[in-house]
Amino acid sequence: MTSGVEAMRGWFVRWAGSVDRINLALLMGLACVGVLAVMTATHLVAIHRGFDELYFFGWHVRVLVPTLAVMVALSFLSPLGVFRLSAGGLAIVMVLMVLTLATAEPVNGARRWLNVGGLSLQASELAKPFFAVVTGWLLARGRNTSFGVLVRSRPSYLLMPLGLLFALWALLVAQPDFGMTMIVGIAWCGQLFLAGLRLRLMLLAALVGAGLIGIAYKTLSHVEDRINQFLYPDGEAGYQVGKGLEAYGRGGFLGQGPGEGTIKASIPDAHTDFIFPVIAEEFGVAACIAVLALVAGITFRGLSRLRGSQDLFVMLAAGGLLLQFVLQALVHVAVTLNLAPTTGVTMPFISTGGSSLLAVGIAMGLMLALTRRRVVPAGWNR
Amino acid sequence: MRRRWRKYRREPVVSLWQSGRSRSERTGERLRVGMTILAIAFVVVGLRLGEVAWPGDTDARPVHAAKEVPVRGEIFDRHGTMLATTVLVPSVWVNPADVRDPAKLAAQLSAVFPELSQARLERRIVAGKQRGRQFLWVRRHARPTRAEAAMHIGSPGLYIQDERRRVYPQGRLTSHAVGYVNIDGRPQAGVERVSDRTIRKRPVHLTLDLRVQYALRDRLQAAMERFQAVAAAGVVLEIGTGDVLAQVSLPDFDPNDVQDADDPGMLDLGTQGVFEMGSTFKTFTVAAALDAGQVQVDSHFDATEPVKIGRHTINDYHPEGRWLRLSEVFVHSSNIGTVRVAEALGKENQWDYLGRLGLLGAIETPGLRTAHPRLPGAWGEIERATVSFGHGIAVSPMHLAAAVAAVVGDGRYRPPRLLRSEPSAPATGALRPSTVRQMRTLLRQVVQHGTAGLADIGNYEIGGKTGTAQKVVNGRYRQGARTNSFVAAFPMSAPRYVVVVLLDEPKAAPGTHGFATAGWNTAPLAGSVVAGVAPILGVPPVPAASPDSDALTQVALR
Repeated sequence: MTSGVEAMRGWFVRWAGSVDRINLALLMGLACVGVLAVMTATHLVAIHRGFDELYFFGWHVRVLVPTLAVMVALSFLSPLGVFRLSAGGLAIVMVLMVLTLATAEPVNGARRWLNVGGLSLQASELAKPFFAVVTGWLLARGRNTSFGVLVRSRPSYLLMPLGLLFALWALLVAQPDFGMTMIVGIAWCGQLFLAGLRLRLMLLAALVGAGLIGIAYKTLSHVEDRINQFLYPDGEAGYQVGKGLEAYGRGGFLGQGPGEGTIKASIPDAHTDFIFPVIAEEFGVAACIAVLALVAGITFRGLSRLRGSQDLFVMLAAGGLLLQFVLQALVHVAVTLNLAPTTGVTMPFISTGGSSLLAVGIAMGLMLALTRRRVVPAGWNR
Repeated sequence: MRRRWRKYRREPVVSLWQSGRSRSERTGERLRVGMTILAIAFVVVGLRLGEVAWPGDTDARPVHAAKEVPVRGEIFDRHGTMLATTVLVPSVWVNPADVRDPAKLAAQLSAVFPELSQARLERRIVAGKQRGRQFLWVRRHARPTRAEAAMHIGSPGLYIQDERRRVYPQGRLTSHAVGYVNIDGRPQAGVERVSDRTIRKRPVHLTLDLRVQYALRDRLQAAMERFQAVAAAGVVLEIGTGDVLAQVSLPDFDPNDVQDADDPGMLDLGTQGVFEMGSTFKTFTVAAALDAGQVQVDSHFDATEPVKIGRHTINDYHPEGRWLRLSEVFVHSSNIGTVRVAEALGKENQWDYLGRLGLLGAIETPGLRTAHPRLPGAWGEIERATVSFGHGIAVSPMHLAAAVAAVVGDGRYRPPRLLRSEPSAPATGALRPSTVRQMRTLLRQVVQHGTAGLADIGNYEIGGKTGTAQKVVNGRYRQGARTNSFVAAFPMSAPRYVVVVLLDEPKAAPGTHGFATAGWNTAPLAGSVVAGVAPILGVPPVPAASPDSDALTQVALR
């Protein structure tokens, strides 16, 4: 019995000594800011939709607490555990995505929500972190320097991640989910860049990406709509962005004060895709910059911790997870600032949401697991 | 050969990965590059955040909301009856930039508000859209049921906003005294304008007594109709305090629905109109001469012949052609005699007394701001002569009332005030008490034995003086056009109130035997006003033909 407790204690001490405590604290801080933002942003939305005014707030807290628990729990994993979980998770989630497409009723013109025992689940959100880890593994496969063995690359090492990307893309475009397609694709390219892809091939990838966006613009009506609305603002999306800008302007640098927001009442999706202007109106752009500073802190802290790593899988997987995280945050803010077309991307840990919040928790849990300091070089992927 | 083949198989034709140092080292380098790119992205987003929050940046920060109408306090009369208040009413506006289908919205709005032209509304919205305007009134001060119907249109860019609207429950009755504010809450006239700063801070009580106001307006309106006057004005003043109890100017306007700010009815004749008052001014000439000690009540003046000054000849309306006692000059309203009195008074004294009675400058007191009197350009012999009987100088009825209050009150001049909640300006000495006593008697005699017999209504011991002035039109006196006035005070044994009435261009009426002088219209009008307001103000009538009052007259005149 005693030895069991001792073993537990040793296990915990090893975790506490190796985990990135600063980043864990920053993530918790971001989650707390999110609770505050959701409290002020959601009560009018809840009333509009006929719920109790604390409905979304209660929902957010009920999802956030298990999410943070999952995040901490996942940070105990070893890199091998991370890979195993992700590989299995990705397989399951992609099956769920196919199921979603087959069964789900369209909401706002997209089939994203799978009904699982009364809860609606957005499988594509959960696919994101798993996809980043598996991509990292594929890119690092056989190229690990842990044993001092240097294996020259073969084209297949590139073809497999590419195939995986196309598979996920196919499922995302079928939904359709423009924003997530972009974020997943750009993060994937970032991983390729980190893996050391030749720069001229990076350039080629960028050209292909631009071409794909062009094709999407020509062939997919909703992509065309979004981009047109961005280029020639008008109509409902222009209304949403306009209201957002108005909220920033009314908030100024120090904001109107908690509960003093009025424009937030007329911003569509103020609790999810447009929560950032709500923060600005009540707490000011100063608070917005503080939130961005937290996001940047988490990202740079995580990335700089990777620089000392000797394990290519760890670098690529954690880099991919962090890239997805920071891209999601930047795109969310850029959309509300009219710097990017409207995509419907949530703010990590800030926006209300079920699957998206859980997915961010999983991603950051896996990231914390990968960035733990290890005493011995891992020889896990023999 | 074989080895070469192997070597070829082991090395790809095209290397995917950049060659060089160890993989993780290169990845570390690329991490640094990636972090730099991300840092730039954060800086860009941060700068954009600063830009949209920058105050006054109209591009990123649309200015939408309607300008707010300032808060104003209520206005009450001296007994707390509400004269002005503010209510919230809905107003409808659109942000043209947000309107998607101007034609549809215009149709929906004109269905709710039938008074709005659909075509015109559509044109305005389209034009606003083109010019990038963010704000357009559709209907201000709408009925709440209509505003609710407009709200149910539910179009983007359509807004309902509660606005403060000034309401005047007494309507026309107090229109000139209280004034009004325009639709944006800017004060335009009356107390609203004069005391704007005070009213924006708190509610105010006026000195007006709504009952007196009603009585005055009622009599003025009746007289204006009977004598077909083009305009009328009246003031009731409390002598001891300078409180304006009533102030009416006709024609007036509905402050709740001002149509045309340039309408003649928008001018408050009581304070903003200046008139040559005619013979009522003799009161001041005689009072000044008595006060200066230059004449006595029984002094005699030569009125045998018209007075010739330069090219001008001054004559009497009813020439007596004899020497007149001072009381006769006043009671019979002799121009010639008054000119002689002014000569006795002296050049400096005459001007000095006009100043002491507040007739040379605008009145500016709490709630009240009158026009500046029109004064003679020079102060030569002819000007002195005409001013002595009220020509060549033009003052407002408010000036006249305040000066007469000083003459019959306690000899001290009190600037009249309209705002009760603020202390009035201090009283200044103008006349000696003995002068006041003599003037009371003379004014009472005018009503008892002189030109104003018709004013003696209801035994309220009215004293007063008629004034029939030739009207100046385009710088020349116009024959037959008169401004008639009457100043009255009551009760004459101890005067408490002054009444001034004025009729502009009154005509002869049935019962006036073809006459249109003040004795036939403004004198009975003032009498009826006194008879109307005395009971309200608690002034009891004295028994008819009281020998005491005549005895008083005889004693004082001896």
